Order: sequence, then C-alpha cells, then structure tokens
Amino acid sequence: MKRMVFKSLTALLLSVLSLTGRAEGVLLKSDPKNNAEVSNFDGTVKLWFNGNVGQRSPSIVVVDGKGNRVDNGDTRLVLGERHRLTASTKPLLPGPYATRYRVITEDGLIVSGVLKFSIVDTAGTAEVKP
Amino acid sequence: MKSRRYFPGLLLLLAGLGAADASVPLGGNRKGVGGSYDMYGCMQSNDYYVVNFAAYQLDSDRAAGAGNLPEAECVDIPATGKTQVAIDLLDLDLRKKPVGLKILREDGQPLVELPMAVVKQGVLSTTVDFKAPGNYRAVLTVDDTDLHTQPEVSALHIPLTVALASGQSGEKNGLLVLFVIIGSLVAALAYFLPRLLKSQPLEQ
Repeated sequence: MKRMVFKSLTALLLSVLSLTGRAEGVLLKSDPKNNAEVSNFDGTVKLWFNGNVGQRSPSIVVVDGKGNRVDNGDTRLVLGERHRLTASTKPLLPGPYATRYRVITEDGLIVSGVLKFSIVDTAGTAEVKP
Repeated sequence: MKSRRYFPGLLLLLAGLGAADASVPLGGNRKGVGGSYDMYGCMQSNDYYVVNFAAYQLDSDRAAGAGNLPEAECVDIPATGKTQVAIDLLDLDLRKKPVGLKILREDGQPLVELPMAVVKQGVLSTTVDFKAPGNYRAVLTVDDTDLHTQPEVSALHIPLTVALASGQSGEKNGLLVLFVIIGSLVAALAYFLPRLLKSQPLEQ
C-alpha cells in the first residue's frame, strides 16, 4: 500500500512539473485580441509572452484576407518581465486579417501560431444601413 | 482495486504526454550552420515558418547498422551521393496543413519533388542523389489555410552546398596548423633548453 502511495505521489509530482514546464514561453495576450473586431486600430500588432524567450528569430507577419502581406517587416522583440513582440502595419482597410507570430525560448521551444482579427468601419456600416 | 493499480501508470503517461506537447528542435549530434554544434541543431526560418533541417549520408564503405548511424549534417553536406533529407516542422500548426518539398539544382531543375500533403508526424523526409558537387536548394511550400498566402510567396528556401570546400574545413585546418606550430615549439624547447643550460660554464 505504502509503495503504491509513493508511486502515485511521484507520478503526480512529475505531472505537475511537466505542466509547469509548459508555462515557459506562453503567449499571454495580444492586441488586437484573437477574433476581435477592431474599429480603432492603432497600426501596431502587439503580443506579450512570459517565460525565457530569447532573441533568436522573432517574427510577426500580418496578412489581409487575400494573403497579401500588410506589415512593414519591422518586428521588434523587447525582453522584460513580460516580453513584448511588436510590428507596425500599413494603413488597414476594413476586412479580415491574420497574424502569424513566432518567438523561440532559450531552451529552443518554438512558440508560434496564428491570430485573426477584423477591422470594422463603424461609420461606413452605419451609412450602408437603410 | 485494479483501477487503483493503474492510477500511477496513468499519471506517468499523462506526465509524458505533457512533456511531449512542445515543439523543440532536436539537438544532440546535429550540426548547426558552419559545422558547429548547438542546441538548436540546424534551424532554418523565414518570416513565416521555422524548421529543423538534417541530411544523413552513409559512407559507402560503412554498412548500415545500429552502431553505424550516420551523423546529421546541416546545410553544408560533405559529399555527393545518396542523402536522406529530413525536415522537422517546428510550427505545430503546420502539421495540420498541406506542405510540399522540392530539392532543386542551382539552375532550378528539380531533383526531388514531394507533392503537397498533410504531414501529421511533422517530419518530411526524402532521399536525394546528389550526383555532382555544387549549390542546391531545398524549398518548403505550405498551403496555409489561415493566411491564404500564395505558397510561393511564403516558401522557405534553404540553400545547400554539396561537397564544396567550406569555411568549416578551413577553420579546422587553421586550428590544426596552430596546434602543430605550438607542438613543434614545445618540443624544440624541451630538446634545446636543457642542452643550452648545460653548456653554460659555471661561474665560481
């Protein structure tokens, strides 16, 4: 019985350790948020990460609904308590957009993915309505 | 009671799965660019995608076997001949999207072309016969269903050299020359210094 309890506790500890290990290099938040509809976009995509993010090959690519690149290719990673990855875009017309991001942790973990957002023209929408 | 017995094992399995749910380039014996070894292995990226590249060549005079596994080479492939090329897709979402691979000669002629297909395991692998020394290119294309970018636009181009004298061998030669010079100096000192000291007359 004691042996089984010991085994269970060891396994539980390993599970917790593996879960905390995954917390390295996690996307905390983004601006614009995923699937957000934005009416007052400030021209910069911003993402925040935690963990031991390194300076190797950070990247942001922003594309419009047709897959055309609309960012200015000026990805910048500022390391801090919350690492901030930013890129500016060309002026965006109303429509759907997608952001592909990537950072690499000091351990070599790739943190990458795709976020989507839409630019909405509230004034334009109001005009279209009968 | 039986389920209690399996509980620790189940937890261990979950722990293992948790640890495996990460995209880490394989380090180990993988050479980086320039022949040096680093923890990232041979990571290749553009603004869109990141992969780990490896090329395996088996010496013709060495039989394949468990103890004779070839070393993973990076983009400077040391010799011509049959080469196993493997590309690890490090962006996890790429494992759900169709990807294709071409190995091209310098003039753009394809040597190998893998058609677009979803690679769930995340490793694209093919065998190429590099018949002549020279410059080649591996091109990874992705049908990115999230971005809708033309695959040619977002394609990851990996320049390869095959059997070309590279900087790494130059560096190795330079180090070898340096060691030979230092070794010769030490040997010369060890030989002549005692004799020089012995030949000096003792002053009384």
